[in-house]
Amino acid sequence: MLKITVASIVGAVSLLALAPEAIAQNVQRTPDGKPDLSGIWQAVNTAAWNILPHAADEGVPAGLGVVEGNEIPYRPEAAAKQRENYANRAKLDPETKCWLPGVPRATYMGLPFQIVQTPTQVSILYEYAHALRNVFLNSTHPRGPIEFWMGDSRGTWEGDTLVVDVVHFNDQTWFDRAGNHHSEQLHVVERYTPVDRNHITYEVTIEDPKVFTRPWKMSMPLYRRLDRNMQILEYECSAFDEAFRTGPER
Amino acid sequence: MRTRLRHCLMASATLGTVLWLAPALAAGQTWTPSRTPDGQPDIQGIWEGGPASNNAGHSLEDGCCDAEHNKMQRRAADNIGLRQQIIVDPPNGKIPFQPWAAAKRTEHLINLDAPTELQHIEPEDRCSLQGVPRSNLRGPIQILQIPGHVVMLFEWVHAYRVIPVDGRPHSPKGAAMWQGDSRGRWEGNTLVVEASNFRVDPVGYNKQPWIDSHGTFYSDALRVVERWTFVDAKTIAYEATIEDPKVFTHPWKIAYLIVRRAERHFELIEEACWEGVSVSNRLESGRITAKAGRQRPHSHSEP
Repeated sequence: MLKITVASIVGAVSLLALAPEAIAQNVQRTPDGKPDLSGIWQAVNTAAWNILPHAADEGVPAGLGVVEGNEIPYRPEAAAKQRENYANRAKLDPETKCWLPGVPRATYMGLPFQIVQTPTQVSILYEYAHALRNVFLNSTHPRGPIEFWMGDSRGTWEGDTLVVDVVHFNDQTWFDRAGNHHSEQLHVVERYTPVDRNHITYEVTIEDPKVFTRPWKMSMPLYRRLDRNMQILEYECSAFDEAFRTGPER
Repeated sequence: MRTRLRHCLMASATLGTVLWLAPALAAGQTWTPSRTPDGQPDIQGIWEGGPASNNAGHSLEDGCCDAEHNKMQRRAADNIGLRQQIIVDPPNGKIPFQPWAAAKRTEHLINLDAPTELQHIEPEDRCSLQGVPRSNLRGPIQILQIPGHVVMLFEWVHAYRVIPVDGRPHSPKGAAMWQGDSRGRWEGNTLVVEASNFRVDPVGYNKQPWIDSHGTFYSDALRVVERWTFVDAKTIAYEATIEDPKVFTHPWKIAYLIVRRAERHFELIEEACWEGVSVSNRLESGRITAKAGRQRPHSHSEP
């Protein structure tokens, strides 16, 4: 399993053709021997606009997409909802309301995020809207139904991969600005696999029987921000919202 | 609401353990905490302002609230005011505003009582980041430590602070932040944090943190020096010195105890505030008050 993952990373990211052993050795480790993911990371792609391949439009850079197979297996009615979302995205996209972006959208908003890793908890501090996720390790999800914007995250280490199981979402967040959506039955499994000191392969499995006919996957590299004195700043989205929540028409 | 309830519960549970700071500080010299791998005192865990700080986030001078508010919020009827003076310097417990700033603050208090425009809605009710030291005055705080950093996570509005303790320089002016820019250093068991480079709202709206809901604002000259003295495994003697030569006549200081949450397996949960906030009712009632000419500075006593 690990070998398959490593092989796909090397192919997908087009990094140096290192042998798996060499890759493992290049990873920074914590005193407990786990890969140390702490640091400031960022996805560099256009998934924020559309997770599928897309041509450029005004203000929208073209992109190759991050979805494996370049297709999202929507149920027919869910595909229609996506088209409607897309047509009305200026009004309907939860990003325009500065709501918490959900998972995995928070990862590829185009802003950096900081991973803080301890032996029992991995916290992810996103610059966007100071969104925060606490990934509790080796523990179980609380009993639902619960509807969190960012879901409930529980993590385990599988070799050098941090696997994060996320459930208890609401149905309010989107995957991108193109109206790709899910229901409250969303189940996300994220895999953070360090490739070397400065790269993580980020793979996501999306499952939502209400919206999709089968599970599907995204993947992308995450890059360590190497800027001198790099630190997370703030994007207080709600403060820039001049039409501050005044009524039910929001 | 949940957070407030927790406050009440904790207040009743630990009221008997309120300590004055001086003996607590003295005890801090003797506690030997375990160390993190990079040699910091290990102070990780879940903390929360002790009962003395209850209500102080609303007003550092007056606490919170009136009986009517408590009834509306289903708060305990006697949960009013401050249990202990939070402002320890000056000794009168009042914020030393310059005259122009005191007038501005009164304006804020009038707008707080009867907001008629969006910009009158105070920062906390916008679910915005609370800044320093106010972030430490509402709800649980989780401290994590990784090499070179102390990280504070707040349940209230899922805020966080990343505090480098590795001697790196402050962020450049211009990159101002609601939480300010914090740099820390360890002096024995005391984490000293200097926070500056706070964001201010250039057009004078309330879209910047206030130090409390009672309109305690600041300028771009704000500098806060915090001293987090880890007295024992369960107690932090917290002090913050607040200086802003453009707004206050001299630096002033708050002090209170922060205590470790005793529950096992405590987890911060998502406090999604902005996603549900609406202020239309408050604006409507504020406009009715204004129309009737009944505007007055917000206070906890009957007019």
